[in-house]
Amino acid sequence: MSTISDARKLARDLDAQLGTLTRSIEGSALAFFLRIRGYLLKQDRRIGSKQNLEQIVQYDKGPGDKFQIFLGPPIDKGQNESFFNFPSGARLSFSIALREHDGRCDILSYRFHFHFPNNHSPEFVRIDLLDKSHPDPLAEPLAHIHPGIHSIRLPCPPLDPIEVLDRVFFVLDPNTRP
Amino acid sequence: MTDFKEFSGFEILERIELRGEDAHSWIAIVGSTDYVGTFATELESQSELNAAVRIVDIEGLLPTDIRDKLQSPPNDHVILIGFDGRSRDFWASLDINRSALERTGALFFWLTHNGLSDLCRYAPNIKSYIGTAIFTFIGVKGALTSENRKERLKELEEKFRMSDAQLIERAERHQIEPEPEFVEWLLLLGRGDLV
Repeated sequence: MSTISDARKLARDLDAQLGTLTRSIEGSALAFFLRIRGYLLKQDRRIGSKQNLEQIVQYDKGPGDKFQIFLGPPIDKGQNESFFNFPSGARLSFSIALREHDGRCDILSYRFHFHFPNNHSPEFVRIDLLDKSHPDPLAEPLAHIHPGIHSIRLPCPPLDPIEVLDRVFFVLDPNTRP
Repeated sequence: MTDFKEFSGFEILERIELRGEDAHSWIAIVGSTDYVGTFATELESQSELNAAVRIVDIEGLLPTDIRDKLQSPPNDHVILIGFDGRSRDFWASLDINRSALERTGALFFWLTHNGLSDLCRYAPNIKSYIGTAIFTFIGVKGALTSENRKERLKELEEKFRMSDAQLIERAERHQIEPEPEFVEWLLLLGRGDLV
């Protein structure tokens, strides 16, 4: 029988494996920001959501080599115009932290919060990448999904942010489901 | 010369999009060549058909050379740079051969104010093809404003019931959990060194 110690050891091993899979992207962070905004623009046209993307997608070039990309507020406290609002009634917010070096950028961390339309169960799905392993990777894996419960985190591979957005627009949004 | 309204790359591409899928889209943009790579990335990112984007430096090229470059291939988006200092004869020759420049992909003339002035003066037919599609490029919009930064910091403080100073102190002691919000918070405070 597997004990919690065994489970923690397996979780640590998995975290170590996930750590080797974290992504590095070719090009500058500003170029990546433009790619993300261009992606959202194409989805906006496809689903007819008519978002003001130049206003709601923002970037912050801090001192040094760090760069952040934002959509919507840091905490989802209810719908407003700063989210990417879907015709289905769902909404999306995210932040992505990058480190630029040698013409590339490493993804330090991200959080994508997809909130389903009202009265949907679960209420939300959140996809996170941590900047480093948590001391208890069984409870909080390096890359994880919250399946509508803030305290539950299930492991997933570290995805490229574009791959996360693919899941948002082609899997999670109720209007895209068959 | 008339002052043209200033636009970000996003706004320029939005306006071109509004003009429809014109097979003969010729657009003049006044801007520093320092930004041409950024504009090319934005153009590539927003292109519906994932068309490739080429930056072609025409410095020293003859109109026939330019034609050859534009037609191989003819269906990508091309941004022509290097018009500064070209002679009146060059512009006149390019103007006479303008139909040889026609292609299915969009054609951008990336110019300085002087370059635009020369185009308007010596290449009236090209100017006619471009029509009103003349823009002054001001770069990329979307940088976080100081007001937005304050709002984000306030929300993070409220959620975690901790001040900026307390976060920094805990980060310096390696006592914060690896959460994306803490990374965001520290970077907003300009303390990327603690991440």
